[in-house]
Amino acid sequence: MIKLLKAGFFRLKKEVIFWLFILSSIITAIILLNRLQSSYSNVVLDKTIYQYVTFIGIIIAIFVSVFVGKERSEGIIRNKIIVRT
Amino acid sequence: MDYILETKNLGKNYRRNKVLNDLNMHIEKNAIYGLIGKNGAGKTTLIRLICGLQKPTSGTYLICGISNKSKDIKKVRKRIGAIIEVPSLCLNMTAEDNLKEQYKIVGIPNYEGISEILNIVKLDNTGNKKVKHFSLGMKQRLGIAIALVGSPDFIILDEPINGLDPEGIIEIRELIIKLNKEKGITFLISSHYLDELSKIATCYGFLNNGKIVEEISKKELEQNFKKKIQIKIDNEKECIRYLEEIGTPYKIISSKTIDIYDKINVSELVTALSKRNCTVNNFQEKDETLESYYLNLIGGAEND
Repeated sequence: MIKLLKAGFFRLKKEVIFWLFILSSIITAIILLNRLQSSYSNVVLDKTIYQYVTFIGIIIAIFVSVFVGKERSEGIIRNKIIVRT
Repeated sequence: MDYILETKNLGKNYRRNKVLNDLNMHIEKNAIYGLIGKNGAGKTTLIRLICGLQKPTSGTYLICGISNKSKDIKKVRKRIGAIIEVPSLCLNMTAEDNLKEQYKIVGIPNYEGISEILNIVKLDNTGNKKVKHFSLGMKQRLGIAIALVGSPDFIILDEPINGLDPEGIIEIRELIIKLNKEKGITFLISSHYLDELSKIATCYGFLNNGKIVEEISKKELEQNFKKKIQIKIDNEKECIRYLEEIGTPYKIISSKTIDIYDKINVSELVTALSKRNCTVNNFQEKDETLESYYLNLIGGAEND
């Protein structure tokens, strides 16, 4: 299992889309924090955090479906099963 | 006999549909085994069973003498490399990165040997070129390179030359022969390109309706090949009448060409035909091909 995870992370690091999503989540976090800081008295902390969590949830859902779907279509999952079963 | 793969009454059903039916197959070590069968004969299902992607409904198979029901089958299966249908490649990565990923999956701690593998498959000069920009032949060679990770004793290739240009076919053929001779790797190749298969395979298994109809070595097959004489004539009717009279088996190829499957006295044939106003324009002795042998065999099996 650890070997499969290592291989998965190796592939992940090479994926441009992964770095794009990381970048977009960092930017979103900065924007939200900035908003929180600038209008501290008017914004509820919980609301801001949950806004971010929702956004990240959507980002992760899109990314995982694209990444896993690609693994399946490129036959990488099949290859892993052959090697590791 | 030392077999790398042996199947005993192997069966696979998809609900009521029997895909493999009491299949018995024997692959000797260091052989290049050509698996021949029409679409839907069960070739890919058989390969998927051997690779552990599916479980057989009945029967057993042994890899290097270890049964699929044994716990050690997982260890033995690590000595198998396979390409099923299409090679599993990550298109956004380079050839070297694809091999590195495979090293991680197999669990090899360092990347020693990557350059050697790339050199074997002649992909050592691809540099930072991503796999999505590779030609089909290069992808297929990279697929074989991935199958070579972990120094396997047995490589399974399902339709390895599908869609390749003549140059790509030659490259794959030479690579398989090289790996077989230099590294002693046993190959199981399923292919529809019988002419191409006949150039590399050392033994054949003919699969039809989920059963191995015949297993035969290349030598035995060549001995079984019928010699035929192809003649080109200008009067087909008279020629056929004569061949019917002397009871010689024949096959009409075209209106002017006939194949004769028997040893005949050529001068007698030419004289007899000329008396019947039939001139022999051309005369050639030919060997039966793997294709015609397969068609005769499968045709015979279906008539049984």
